[in-house]
Amino acid sequence: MKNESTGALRKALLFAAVILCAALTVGCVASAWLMYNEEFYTTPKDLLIEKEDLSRMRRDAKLIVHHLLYADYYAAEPLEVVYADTATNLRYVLFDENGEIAASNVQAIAGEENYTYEGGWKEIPVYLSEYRNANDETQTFTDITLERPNRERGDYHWDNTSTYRMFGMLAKNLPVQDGYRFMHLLYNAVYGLRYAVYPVGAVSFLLAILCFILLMCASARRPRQAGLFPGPLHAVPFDLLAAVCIVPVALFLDLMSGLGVGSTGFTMAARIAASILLIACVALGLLMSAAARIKTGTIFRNTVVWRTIMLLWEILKWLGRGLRKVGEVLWGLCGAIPRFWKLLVLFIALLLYEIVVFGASYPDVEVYWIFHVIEAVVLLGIALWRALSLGKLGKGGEALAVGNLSYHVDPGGMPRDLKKQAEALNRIGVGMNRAVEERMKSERMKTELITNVSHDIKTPLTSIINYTDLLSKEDSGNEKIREYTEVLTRQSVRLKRLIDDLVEASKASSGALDVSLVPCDASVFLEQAAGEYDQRLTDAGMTLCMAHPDHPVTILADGRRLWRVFDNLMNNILKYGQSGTRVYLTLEEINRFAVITFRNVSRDPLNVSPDELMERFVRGDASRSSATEGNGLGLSIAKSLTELQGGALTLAIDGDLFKATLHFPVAGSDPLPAAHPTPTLASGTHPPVLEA
Amino acid sequence: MYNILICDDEPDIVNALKIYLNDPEYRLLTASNGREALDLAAREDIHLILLDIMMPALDGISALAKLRESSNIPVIFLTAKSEDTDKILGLNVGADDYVTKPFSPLEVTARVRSQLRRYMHLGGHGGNQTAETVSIGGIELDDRAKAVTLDGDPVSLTPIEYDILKLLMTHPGEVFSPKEIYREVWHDNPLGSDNTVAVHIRHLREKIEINPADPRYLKVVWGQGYKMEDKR
Repeated sequence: MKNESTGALRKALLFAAVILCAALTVGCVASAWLMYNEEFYTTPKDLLIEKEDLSRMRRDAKLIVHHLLYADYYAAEPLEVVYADTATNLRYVLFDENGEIAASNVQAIAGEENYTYEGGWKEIPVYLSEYRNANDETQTFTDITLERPNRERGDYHWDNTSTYRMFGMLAKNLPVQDGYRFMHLLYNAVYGLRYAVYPVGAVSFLLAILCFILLMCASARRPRQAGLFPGPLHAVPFDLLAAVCIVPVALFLDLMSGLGVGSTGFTMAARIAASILLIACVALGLLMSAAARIKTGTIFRNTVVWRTIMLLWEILKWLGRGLRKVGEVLWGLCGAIPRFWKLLVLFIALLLYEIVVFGASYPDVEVYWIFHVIEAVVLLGIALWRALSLGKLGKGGEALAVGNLSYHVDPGGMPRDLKKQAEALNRIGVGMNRAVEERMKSERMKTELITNVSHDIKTPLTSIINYTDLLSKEDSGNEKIREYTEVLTRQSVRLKRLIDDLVEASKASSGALDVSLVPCDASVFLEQAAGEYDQRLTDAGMTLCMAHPDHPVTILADGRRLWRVFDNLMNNILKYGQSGTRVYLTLEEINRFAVITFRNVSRDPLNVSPDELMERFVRGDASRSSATEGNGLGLSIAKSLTELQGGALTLAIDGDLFKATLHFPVAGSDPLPAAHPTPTLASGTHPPVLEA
Repeated sequence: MYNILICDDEPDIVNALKIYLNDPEYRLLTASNGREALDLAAREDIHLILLDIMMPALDGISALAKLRESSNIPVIFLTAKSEDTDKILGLNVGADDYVTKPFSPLEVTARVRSQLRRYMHLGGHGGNQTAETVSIGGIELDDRAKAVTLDGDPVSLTPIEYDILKLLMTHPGEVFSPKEIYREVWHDNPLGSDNTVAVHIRHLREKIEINPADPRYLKVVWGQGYKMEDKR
């Protein structure tokens, strides 16, 4: 608040300073110009004053003659009062044309030492003349001049010119307060300042500029406070504000000029000065507002003109959009009309055009018309035939494009060239069908091959496992034999797992698994996983923290396949988790997605990226130490199985924190799972759902 | 004395099984294909057959189908085919159990013993259903005595485990969610995230199943709950 008021005070002071300095500058320039015109710089002071006195005396001489001639008119202020020696410093003696004293305010000529002017009385002649117009009629009025008039002026002719003579002097020391005394004082004062106006003008000009700059800078700012604080008028559009300010100023000026008619001297000067001051104040205020607007960058935008232009632009855009919509609708309607009908309508239109144009040119040749109509009908037939065939081809192409490979285009009844195209289209369909079938077959065969090979490997593996087991039970008493048998047992079990995982990974990634999605409760999954793994995690020195919402979170999943995902991820934690840490298993519902997160701290530094971890046969421990079981297929299988069920598995590594996240759309939010597995390789018939 | 027929085309596996099943109670007979097995089964009084599937001459599935026309002796498939579809096919044809290769010797011997006891003691059928006793497969629950037997052997259960088992056995084939089990057994509403039920079920499975990871009776319906297989 304090800042605001000091800011306002500072601005007011600066404002006043600008106006004052500018006024002073203008005054200096104007007076310098005036003084130059009055020859202040070339003439001594006494001469200047004498010149001024003389011109004043001339005016008085003329007035005195007026008083004499038109005494009735001046009855309210007779000569004896207005030009009494106590009312004016002028001492005069007026002689008429006969040389006799007509009027005087001098008591005795002898007291000449009381008067000024070394050279004595100044003689001022006053000429009176009557006019004669072009018809030689004498006018009734008399003109009084101080110069001897020319004999002729325009249509008028001078007549009966007579001369009055006034002698004037000024009273010593000018005892009366009148124009003479004022002018003497003024000239004495101004003459001393005639050179001072230059430095004063220059300095005030510079000060005005400086204050102006400071004022503009201070606009919309507050002392010791960052940011802009525009005034209450800031919101008013600039051009509107300017108009609101300018209109009353113009009215005021108009009023001033109206009053100015007939007035002279100081009042006129005061009026002009007041007007200029008003204009200056308003202009300066507007400039301040403009400065604030430039600072906030709204000088152009916050104007009525700009807003109007923007509004017009919006209207234009809206109109354009509307037109475009109309055009689109029309175009769509056009496209919806079958080709056959379009062609027919076009043809009829052309025919009508011909009838109108050529019919007007050759109205009488009837034979021509018969032939023309026959020709038109034949052409129409051909065009329609082609159009229908093209339509069939188009449908076939579209069917192929959307994957309907068994679509057959009937080439019967088509023109020869189009028939060839139809046959080619059919061949493309057959070829693509064959290629897709072959691909599917090869995928199936690959998976079958891996499955069969796995069966063949399992038989010898069974013997190996059984006999190493038997071997380990034989008490040979040889320490080395026991040690080696242990290695055999461990490695054969690993081989068994590897084979199982290999089959599963191959099936999952080729999509050769049947998934039957049924509604499951994700929180039940979490509880079951926690129940299954609680003991094993405790044995490994880890604590399981499980959290899920109270309400059921229903997802569409194949229970056993999703369990395999959980199993793999939990096994991973068991294998690679740091003993003595907590394992977090959480379920959240975010944006209609069930988000299941597995978090644990890794025992070994994780120096691989999450993407690499998802690849087959990549394990978190780069050393691939055989101390930990596992073959690096677990995450790959988990990912493939999750995707087969329409979910997503993402991994994240943050230092030693390993995070696996499952995303499943909440059932009901989306009637179809987003990424439902393509049923390309599934046999089509689903076996009954199996439980573990 | 029980007559057990081991049928596999791989002599090494047959030999290994013979070693594992070396028991004064068992008389072991061997066959190397389905046809031989059928012949032996017709001649001898066989009590149990361990049958491979992939064999020359006559495969295990066809042999079993043939055998089931005249006999209901326990048959355990012992095969390298581990696909779900194979398992379903095997059980549908009439096998009593299904063990995949490579097998754990202990599991095989346990299953053989279980099947023999059920067949011999219970006469190969679903046992006596009364108001007080429920039996499913080899499990018998006597509500009067609050006792459970597995293939005739008593199983020691905690009261909670007994209640859960009773609930599931009296509604065979019906899936119970963990919340429902909690409400029925504890007579209370479960609090927040709780795996109590899941832990009890796991303990129960460890007591009544030969291989808790591949249960025959108490099955986990992932994402839904638990159920008892309907094998009356």
